Amino acid sequence: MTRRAVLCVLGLALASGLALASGISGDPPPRDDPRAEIHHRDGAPAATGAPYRWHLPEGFPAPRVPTDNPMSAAKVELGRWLFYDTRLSRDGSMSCATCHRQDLAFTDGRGRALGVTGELHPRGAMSLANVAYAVSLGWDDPDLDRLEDQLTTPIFGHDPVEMGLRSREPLVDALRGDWRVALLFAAAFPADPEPVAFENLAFALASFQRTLISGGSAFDRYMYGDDPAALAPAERRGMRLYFSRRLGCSECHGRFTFSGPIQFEGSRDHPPLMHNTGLYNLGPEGAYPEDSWGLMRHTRRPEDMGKFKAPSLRNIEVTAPYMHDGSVETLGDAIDHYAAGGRTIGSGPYAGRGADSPRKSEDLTGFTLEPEEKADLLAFLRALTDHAFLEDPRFADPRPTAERSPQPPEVSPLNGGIH
Amino acid sequence: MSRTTLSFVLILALLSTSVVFGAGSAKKETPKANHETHYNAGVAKMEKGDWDGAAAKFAAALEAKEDFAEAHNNYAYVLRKQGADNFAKALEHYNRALELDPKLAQAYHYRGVLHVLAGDEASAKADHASLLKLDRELADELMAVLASGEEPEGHGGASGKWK
Repeated sequence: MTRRAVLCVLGLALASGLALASGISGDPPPRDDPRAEIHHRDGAPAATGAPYRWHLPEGFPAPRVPTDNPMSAAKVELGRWLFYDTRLSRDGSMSCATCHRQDLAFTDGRGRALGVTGELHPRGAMSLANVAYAVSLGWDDPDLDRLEDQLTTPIFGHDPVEMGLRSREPLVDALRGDWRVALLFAAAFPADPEPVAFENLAFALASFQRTLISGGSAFDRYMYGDDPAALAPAERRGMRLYFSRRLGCSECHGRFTFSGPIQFEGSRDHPPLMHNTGLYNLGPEGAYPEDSWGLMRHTRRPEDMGKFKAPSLRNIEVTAPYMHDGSVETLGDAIDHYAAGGRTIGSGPYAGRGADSPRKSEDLTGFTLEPEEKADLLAFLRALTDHAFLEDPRFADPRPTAERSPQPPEVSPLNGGIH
Repeated sequence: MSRTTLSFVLILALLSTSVVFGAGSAKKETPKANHETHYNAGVAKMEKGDWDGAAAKFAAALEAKEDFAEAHNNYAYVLRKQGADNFAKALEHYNRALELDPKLAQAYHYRGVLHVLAGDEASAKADHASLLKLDRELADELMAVLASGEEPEGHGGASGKWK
């Protein structure tokens, strides 16, 4: 090998090293970062316990659970307490439930989530309903596939700041000093001599989130129950449209979760799938706004510009506004967007005709829809609301009412939409 | 023909016969059984959309082996693809396939499709319920058919080649 060749190889190796360090490759944070992957602590006993009994709706399979974090009732209960615990935020003003409200199918009603410092997140809080079945988590990261690892980003992330904690220790100290929570940790991890640990917090929170299964809508009673009258005629007409080849809604929002690819116990493996729906078309290359690059944010491949995961449409009625940045206010507007094969923004910094985007996914070709058909389709989408799920006490704040943190003030849902 | 020549011809004939039989008995172990050969040929034709040709092959496979669940399943499918006049006959073959193999998920899937196309929603739902326990992915395909009333694309409910 010549000297020049050696230098070239060294340069390439250095460049790839820099890329890894800058996170372009999507590598996990180092172990001393509070967002490092969650594993059992050295010396911590392996998880044990009685098999967990799922409360699965009719027709729903058991979710796939990581072998190092098997489900247990005590862990789920601890996770529920932690989910509503505001000590997980820098100033004690936010819990997981601030951005994931049960009455809104575990979303927040905002276009874009608002962090503890007032920083607006580039994307909206995704619904946690049926998150146990997702093959990837969040809007655009194909490699984020474990709830145990995902939850460190909202707690410790600094770009953007969400809950704003900087390290694990102060949180663990605070929890250790709370006898009631410490008892729950001890019950959930009975063989662990130091049960109050951040890793166990992550295991418990992930376990609780896996129980957030929604499958009690009118559609479910019609399809999986024995109630052919569960759907009204308009809803049934809408259902036919939704699943028709002409509209193709179920091509992306399919399966029993009405979402993209899923996994469960015994299922085949499917890779994550993301789409550019022609929401934006900036410049000749079909760019999205800089904070909305989607999958390209992780892969740096131009063809991944603006690609996002197809979220579940279950409970879609209560999760407005829509799209990754909440820039579509109503369900009717969302249908119009897909019917047109992309969104047209007439003026302003994001002006462009999304239908003409060179980056738009090929299957987004648009369709024509008569006004009465649109009404039927809307009726069907509303029939995907699981009202019992939105009020199920198993998922609610376990604290006595007097101890609960107040709900955040109502906000304009489009606070993060088109500027 | 002289006596010597006749003897020579007879010996040659005897030799060639024994060679043919010998070769035949050696080959008997390698080729697939008759019903499998017909079945696989049927699958190949089915995948090309040659419904008539596939039907003939599956019928031949069943003639060779009547208790061949996969052949009943695929015969039913290509019969259905040949037109609504064949729906009743297709249903008989789906029923026979499931009688032979009650765990043949594909047969529940495509029998469910047949029920939907024939307007029998209750029977289609019963097949969907069976499928939920056997193959959750095919169950979701049948759910989409039940919901849309449209025939699915591909051959998800047909059985594959026999190996």
